[in-house]
Amino acid sequence: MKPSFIDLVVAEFKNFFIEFLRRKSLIIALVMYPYLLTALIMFIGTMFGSLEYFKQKIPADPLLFFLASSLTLLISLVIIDDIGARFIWEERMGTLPYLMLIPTSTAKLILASPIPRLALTSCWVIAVLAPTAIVIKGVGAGLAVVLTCLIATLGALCFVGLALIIGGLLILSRGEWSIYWVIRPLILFISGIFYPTALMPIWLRILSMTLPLSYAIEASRMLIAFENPEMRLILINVTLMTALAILYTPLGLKTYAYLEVRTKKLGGLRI
Amino acid sequence: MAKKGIEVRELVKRYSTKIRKGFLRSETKVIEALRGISFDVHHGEVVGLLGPNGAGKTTTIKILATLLLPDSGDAFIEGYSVVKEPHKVRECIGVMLTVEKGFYPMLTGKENLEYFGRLYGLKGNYLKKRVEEILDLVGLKELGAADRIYEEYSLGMRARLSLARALLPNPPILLLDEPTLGLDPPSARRIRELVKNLVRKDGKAVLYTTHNMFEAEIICDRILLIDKGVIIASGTPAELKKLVRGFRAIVLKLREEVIANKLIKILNTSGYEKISKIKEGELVNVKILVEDPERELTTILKLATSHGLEIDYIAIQEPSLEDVFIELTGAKE
Repeated sequence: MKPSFIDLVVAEFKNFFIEFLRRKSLIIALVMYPYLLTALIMFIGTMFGSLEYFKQKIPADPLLFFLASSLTLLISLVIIDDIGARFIWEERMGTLPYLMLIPTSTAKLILASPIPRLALTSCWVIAVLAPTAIVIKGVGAGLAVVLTCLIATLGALCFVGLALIIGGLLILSRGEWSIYWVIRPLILFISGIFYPTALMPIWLRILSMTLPLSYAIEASRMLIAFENPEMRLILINVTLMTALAILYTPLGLKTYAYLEVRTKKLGGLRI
Repeated sequence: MAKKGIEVRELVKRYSTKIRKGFLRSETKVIEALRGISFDVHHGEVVGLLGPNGAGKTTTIKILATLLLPDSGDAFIEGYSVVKEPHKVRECIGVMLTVEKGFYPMLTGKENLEYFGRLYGLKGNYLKKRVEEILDLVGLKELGAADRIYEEYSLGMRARLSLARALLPNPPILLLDEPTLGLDPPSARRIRELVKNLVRKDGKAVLYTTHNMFEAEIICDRILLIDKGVIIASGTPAELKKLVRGFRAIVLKLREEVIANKLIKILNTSGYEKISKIKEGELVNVKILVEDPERELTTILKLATSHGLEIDYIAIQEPSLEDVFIELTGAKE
C-alpha cells in the first residue's frame, strides 16, 4: 500500500512528539534556545563591528535586529537540520535503509519530516519572543514578531530544495558527515544571519542573493527592527524568496533522486 | 510447482575500494561482489543463501531490496524489476537487515511498529490491530516488551521486532539477512520457527542468508552455496550432501589449538587433504573426510600418538552440509 503525503506527515508528527515529550533535554533545549541563540548572534554580530558602527550604517535597533535574526535562524535551522542532517541521525540509528525501503520516494518522506518541528518551533518562538518585543517596543512590535515568524516559516520552507541537495550529497559522501558541519555555518553566515549582508564584500552579497534564507532574514529584520518598515520592500523580499523556492524545490527533488540512485550504484549506503 | 516470487538473472556487482598505501597514498581496487548469479525462489519455500563472509550474500539481499543497483543483470520480485520498478518491488517485500539496530531508541516496540506501519500506508484501527497481531506473533507481547522502549531491548527482542517490521505490511516476499546472527539459541530457534510457519501457512517466498550450516540445514528447503560472488552448488540439503557421497568424517576433539594445528600439519604431510578445523567451546574439532573411516582411523591415531598428541574424543559421522561447503569452497576453518 502506498502512503500518501498526509500519512507521512501524521507518522512524523507522532514520532516527533513521542520522542520530544520523552526526552527532557529536548524540552529544556526548546525553552532555552531562543534566549541562548539571541545572545550568541549578538555576540558574533558585535565581533564583526561595534554596535556604534552598526547604528551608523543600519537605521535599526541593533537588539531588535539581532532578535529578528535569531528568530529566523531558529526556524530555518529546523529545515536545514531536519532535512540535511536527518540522514546523519538515521544512518547512526540504522534506520536509514528502512526509510529507503518504504513504497514511496524517500524525498517525499524527507519533505514531510520537518513539518512537526517547524510547527512547534514557530509557535514556541512566537510565544517566547513576542512578549520580549512587546516589553521593548510595545504591542506593534509583538505583532511584528508574529508576522516575522510567518515570514521565517515561509523562508524555511523555501529552503527545502537546497536542503534536499545537501542531504543527497551527504548520503553520496559515504559517511563524510563532517562536510555538513562546514556547510551549515557557511550557509548561515552567507545568508547574513550574523551580520547584515549590506556590510559584506560584493562577492559574498552576490552569493547571498542565491539563498532564499537571505530574503527571509532581510524581510524579518525590516518588519521587526526598522522604525517605519516599507511594506513594498518586504513584499519584494518575500516574492524573491518564493521565486527561488519555485526554482530550487523541483531542482532539489530531481538532484536528490539522482544522488540517491548514484549512491545505490556506488554501493555507498551504509547498513 | 508454486509461482516464482524471486527471479534473479545474471546479477553482477563490482565495488571500488581504496587500499591505503601510506598516510596519503591509496590505490583503487575493484572487488567483484557478484559474478553473474542466477536463481529463483518459489512461493512456499525458504531458500538459503549460504556462504562465508564476503561471499556476496548481503549484496544480493541489498539488490533485491532495491538498496543497491546491479552493474548488469536484473532481478524480479513478483514480476517487478528491481532496476526499473523499485517502488513496486518495495510494496512486495519485507526486509530484515541487521538485528542490533534500526529502530528509534526512545520509542517503544509498539510505537516503532506503528511509525513504520504508517510509512507503509497502514492507518487507523487496521494499523493498531495489525501491530498487536504482529507483536503477538513474534512473542514480544508474551515477553512484556511491547510497551518497553527499544533502547532497553535485548538482542533477541530486537531481532523479533525487526522480523515484526518486515511482516507488518504482510508482504509475499521476505528477504532475511542473517536474522539469527548473535542471538542466543532460544531466540534463534523462535525466529526460525516463525519463518518456517509463515512459509507453510501463508505461502511466502523467503530468501534467508546465513553462514550457519546447522541453521541452513534445518530451515531451508533449498540451499544455494555462494562463494566469491558465484553460486557453486544448489539443491536440497540432502542433494548437497550427496556431493560428498562415499565420504564419511572422522572427528577428533583436542584440547588446544596448537595441538590441532600440529595434527593437521602431520595429516597433510601424510596425504590427508579434506581436513577442517572448528572451535567448539574449550575444545577444537578436527574433521577429516575419508572413504573408509574405520581403516583410516587406526592410521590417524598411530600418527597422533607417535607425535605425542593427546586426543580427547573420537567419532565417525555422516558428512554434514558443512563438509559439503568445505569440500566445494576449499575453506579450512
